Amino acid sequence: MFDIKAPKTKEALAQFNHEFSIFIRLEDCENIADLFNTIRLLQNLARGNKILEALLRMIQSISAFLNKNKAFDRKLTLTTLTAIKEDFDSIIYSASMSDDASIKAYRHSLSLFHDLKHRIALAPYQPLLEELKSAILSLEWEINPDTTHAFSLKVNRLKMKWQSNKLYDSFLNILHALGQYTHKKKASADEEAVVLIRTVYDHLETIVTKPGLTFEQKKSLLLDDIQRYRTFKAKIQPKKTRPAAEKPIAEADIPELKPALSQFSSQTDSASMEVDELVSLSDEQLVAQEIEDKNLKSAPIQPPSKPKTDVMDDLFNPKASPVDDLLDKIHLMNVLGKDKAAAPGMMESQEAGFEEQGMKSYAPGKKDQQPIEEITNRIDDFFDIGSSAAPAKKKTPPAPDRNKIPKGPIGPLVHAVNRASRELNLPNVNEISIKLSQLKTALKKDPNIRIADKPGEFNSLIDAIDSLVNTMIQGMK
Amino acid sequence: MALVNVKTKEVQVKIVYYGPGRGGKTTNLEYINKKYRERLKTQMVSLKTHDDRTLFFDFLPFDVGKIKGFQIVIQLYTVPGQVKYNETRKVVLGGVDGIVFVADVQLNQRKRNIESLNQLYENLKTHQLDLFKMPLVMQYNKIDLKNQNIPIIPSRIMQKDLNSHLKAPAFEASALKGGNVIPTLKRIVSMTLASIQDELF
Ligand SMILES: Nc1nc2c(ncn2[C@@H]2O[C@H](COP(=O)(O)OP(=O)(O)O)[C@@H](O)[C@H]2O)c(=O)[nH]1
Ligand SMILES: [Mg+2]
Repeated sequence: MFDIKAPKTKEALAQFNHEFSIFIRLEDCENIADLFNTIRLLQNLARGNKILEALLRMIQSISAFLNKNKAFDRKLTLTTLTAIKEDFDSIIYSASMSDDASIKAYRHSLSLFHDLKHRIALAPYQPLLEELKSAILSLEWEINPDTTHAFSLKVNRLKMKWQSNKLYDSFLNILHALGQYTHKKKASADEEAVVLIRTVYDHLETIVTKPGLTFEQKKSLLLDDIQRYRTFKAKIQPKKTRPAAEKPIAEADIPELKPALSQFSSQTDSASMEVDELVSLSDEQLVAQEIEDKNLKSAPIQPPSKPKTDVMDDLFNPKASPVDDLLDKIHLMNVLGKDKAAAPGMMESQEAGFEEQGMKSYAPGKKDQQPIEEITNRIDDFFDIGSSAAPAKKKTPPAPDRNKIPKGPIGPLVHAVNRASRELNLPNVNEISIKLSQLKTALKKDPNIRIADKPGEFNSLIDAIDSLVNTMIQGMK
Repeated sequence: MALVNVKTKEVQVKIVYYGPGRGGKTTNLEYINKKYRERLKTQMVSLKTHDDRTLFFDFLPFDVGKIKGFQIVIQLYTVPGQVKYNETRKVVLGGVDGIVFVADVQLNQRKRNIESLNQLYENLKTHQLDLFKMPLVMQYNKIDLKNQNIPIIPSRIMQKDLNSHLKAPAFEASALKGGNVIPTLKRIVSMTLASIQDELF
């Protein structure tokens, strides 16, 4: 039992008060050891009194924090510390204090303590939140590539920091999606997008900075925002069933124009000409292409600027390339004047040297030739990584270089399927090739990938191979 | 003209993407470059003005492998679109083997498509080349815009405007989303190679 009148207790309290007042004034390392000693003494004496034990622990940890962290808001920390000490004093010195009053004082301290802890935890993110907020202000001012970019950047930074916090991350996901939308739509973005960004941000800020909220309260804020986002999304989504008259312009409304090259063509009746070959592109094909490309490029995305080399780099690269040639010509043209430099003779003058090096040139000519099979096969092989647009074609037996079996975990499988496709001309085989190549790409990026990571891809692959084997068996019968 | 090194058995084929400015030529090459990044082993070179428009040209070379013992190197170029760069356009067309004409299907680009194609004919003439005898593929780009309530030219009219006389194979495309970019490319590459196959292979 903690007995305020016992001499031992009186002495311990006197020491504690003394060390505490020094610490508050100086906050120095040597004194903190003494302060901790007196706290430990009191903790022993107060053993069993949960309230006093807890208050002493708070005082101890805040002092330790103050001593170590000089950067954090000292005023706030000191105010909290003294307030808790006052609660502690009020409990032990007022003999008449009821249990209820003690509990009230304790609760007061506890909330101060939590508040401080929360602010300390938040400190590293506070600047990021503020940056996000000011990015939103700019976005409210004007939607342009700079502001949308800055906004996404800030959202992503916080996302990295808060990866493990599902709740925060969910808010950030909504912001991220809205950011993408405004970036894509630019000035034509629905005004509500920015309003919604603001609302979601305010809720995130509330949740992050206001410590007192219960989990239920936080969750309900999030659910509200998710609902708002869904409503917004439904609103901006282009209507699937739009009146047919709306998209294509009525041909009758398009004025007659003289077709290109009319003055150069020997042909006279252009109006009745047969349209010779038009490959159209349906919405479905377009969507399919996008999905396919997404699958192919899923994992590591290089920064978009990377494939393009810096202009200066290229200009100063000592290695001669056709680009250097062209640049020289363009440069010469600027220096000599276009007539001299761009004269066709210039192009040919180069070729004299070429021939000595074994170079020959062939003039192209449209002879409406069908390409020989070797050309078609080579091009198909090169370009079909997963191009669903390419219909399965009959192919000739493999050229020698195609018999090389590719390395890697599923390389041999890809090879076998490709051969089956060429030699047996099986249906569905193209689709399987596509899946295999996608898988191969995924494996290339991450050799440690496990089936469990991509169950969908593996399962559909297994199904596809299964049906292929069936077809083959039937074919053999 | 296709350059062939008889000693090393390497064939260089030059394909130029031509068309009105902002039509999507660079976007075609960027898509190809992105999609085949791993396979190309080469880098795309873009010489751009500060506002992201093609300054001189874009250049994307790649090796498609061997055909009948010849190593085939395809070089893709774009030309700058701005009117004032016509001299550069002419230079880039030097030695061209195949052309993709990238037209913009937006209704307000209709005249520019026609003008650009007429200019292509003239520019080729300065190299003693005849557009009517060149491997050529038409691409009607930005077809995706029809879903965004932007007035576009129906493909039948595109054909009439641009392809009445040339009768080249034509593709509706969306370079931005990758729709028919590769089929366009495959087509021009195979046409171009076919045009020299008799002499070469
Ligand atoms: N919607 C849409 N925009 C496109 C398409 N292709 C290109 N663009 C856009 O049109 C603009 C000009 O494209 P760019 O490739 O630079 O044209 P270039 O001048 O012919 O090289 C860019 O903003 C592209 O994003 C397309 O297929 N659809
Ligand atoms: Mg360009």
